[in-house]
Amino acid sequence: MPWTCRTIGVSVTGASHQRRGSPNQDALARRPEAGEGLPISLAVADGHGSPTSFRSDVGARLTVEIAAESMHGFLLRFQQSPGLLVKRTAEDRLPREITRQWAEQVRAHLASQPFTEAELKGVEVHGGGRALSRLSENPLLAYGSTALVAGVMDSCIVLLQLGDGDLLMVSSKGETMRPLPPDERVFADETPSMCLPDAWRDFRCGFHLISEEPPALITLSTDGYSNCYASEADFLKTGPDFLQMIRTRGVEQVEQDLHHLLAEATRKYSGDDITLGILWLQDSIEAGQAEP
Amino acid sequence: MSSPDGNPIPMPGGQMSTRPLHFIWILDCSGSMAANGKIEALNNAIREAIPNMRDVADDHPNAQILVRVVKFSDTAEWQVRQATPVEDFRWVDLAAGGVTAMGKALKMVAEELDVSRMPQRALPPVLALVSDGQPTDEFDAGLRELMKQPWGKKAVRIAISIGVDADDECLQKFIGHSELKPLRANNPEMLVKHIRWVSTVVTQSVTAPASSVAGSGIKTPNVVLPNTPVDEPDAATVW
Repeated sequence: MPWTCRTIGVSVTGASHQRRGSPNQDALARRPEAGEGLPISLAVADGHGSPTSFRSDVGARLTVEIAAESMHGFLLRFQQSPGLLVKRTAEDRLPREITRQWAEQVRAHLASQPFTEAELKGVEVHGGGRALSRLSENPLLAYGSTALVAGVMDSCIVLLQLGDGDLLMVSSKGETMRPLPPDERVFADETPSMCLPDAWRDFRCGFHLISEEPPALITLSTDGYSNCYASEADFLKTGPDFLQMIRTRGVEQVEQDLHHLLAEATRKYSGDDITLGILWLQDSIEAGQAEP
Repeated sequence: MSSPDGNPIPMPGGQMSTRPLHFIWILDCSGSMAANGKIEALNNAIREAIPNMRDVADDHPNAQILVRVVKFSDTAEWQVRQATPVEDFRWVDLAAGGVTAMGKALKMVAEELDVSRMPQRALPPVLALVSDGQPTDEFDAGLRELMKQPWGKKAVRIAISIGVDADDECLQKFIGHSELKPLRANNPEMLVKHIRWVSTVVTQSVTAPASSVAGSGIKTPNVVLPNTPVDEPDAATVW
């Protein structure tokens, strides 16, 4: 059954960041940039924003651009390949490729814009000599971010995640699940990061063959969004609710709505930057609409 | 909520909520606190800080500030065990007498910070330890219990040292970060300043924590703490 995929996504600066005059540390990117067709990719990242990760807005931007491009390029190369080969190659190559390119581009950025005295002073004031020493050993710490990536092609879905944030899959009936295993190191704003050595090992990978029951939606969001909800169940309910919104209001309207919804969510609840991207599989939704 | 065209926009998902910020006072009520008006000064300082804490809560609507109090002397017990929204928190004066069971107080805090009792989406707790003397029980054991708890490690731990007899070494161990020293209060005015700083400025900083990198080796809190209050150069040393 022919079907296609579209992406929508919005990123808002956290209410608490606005109060401090800090920039949005989240980022989002998609390929193709028009956000329509197959294969398609979507990436979301959350820069750490800590005194040591003082360039994490740059890091997050690099993460999403590299991740979306790498995923899309991978899917283009392997779109005729058997599912098992796609799965194994994705797991083996994509995290390494993404982290390798990221480290290269971060180093290039640093070479063109060395750390300033003011930036280093900020690290020392907050973290002392030890933090400065760690930064000197690993300058990538200044750019640290998480990464969430989804890629969809005719036959399958490839999912990657490094660090905190939330990746949900929603069926045409509105059943919502987390397709990736949890990372036990994610706790209370502590997270694995793109900036660590061998960060590729910290990626969680997921693979989903599209056969008779493709998902209707895949949502990727930074933790500023799930932190707005009182419980896991309350957050998971966003899955069927977004599905219903798209069915009743249309995808373009929902993307407009997201600006207001996420701004309201950060203002009243988490206070953090919030980024939400949605991939929706159009034929599945239409199939869902036809059900009694 | 409405979109610009006036149509209502449904907020997806279930119940939404601000993030809880647990603030725990850990207060020395040993016999030495009865001398020279120290316990009275402590009671006044905390009572006076409550409106300021409420102002912080109002200015940072994304955090729900929940206050508890544990006191210690011959033993340790909860003065306020139920995490109380700061809007509803009322101060009841403490009395002083006995020795200094600081270790037991830390163990009791550790029990409350167990992951089974804390929501995963909570903001880093703030633990404010105030003492004028030396612990008379197993302080190291109590601190170990606290630091065994993931939320104990994530907590922003601040210590206020009252008078010249306070054990700054223990207080520094409690803080756990060499960049932050115990705040010294040698007179009632400084105590008021430090209490207000902990209960407002520190709390304000915690409402917007950054992420920290797991495995980076950097152990500082992921909260940017502003500069601590400075004593007046000609302030009297009362304690």
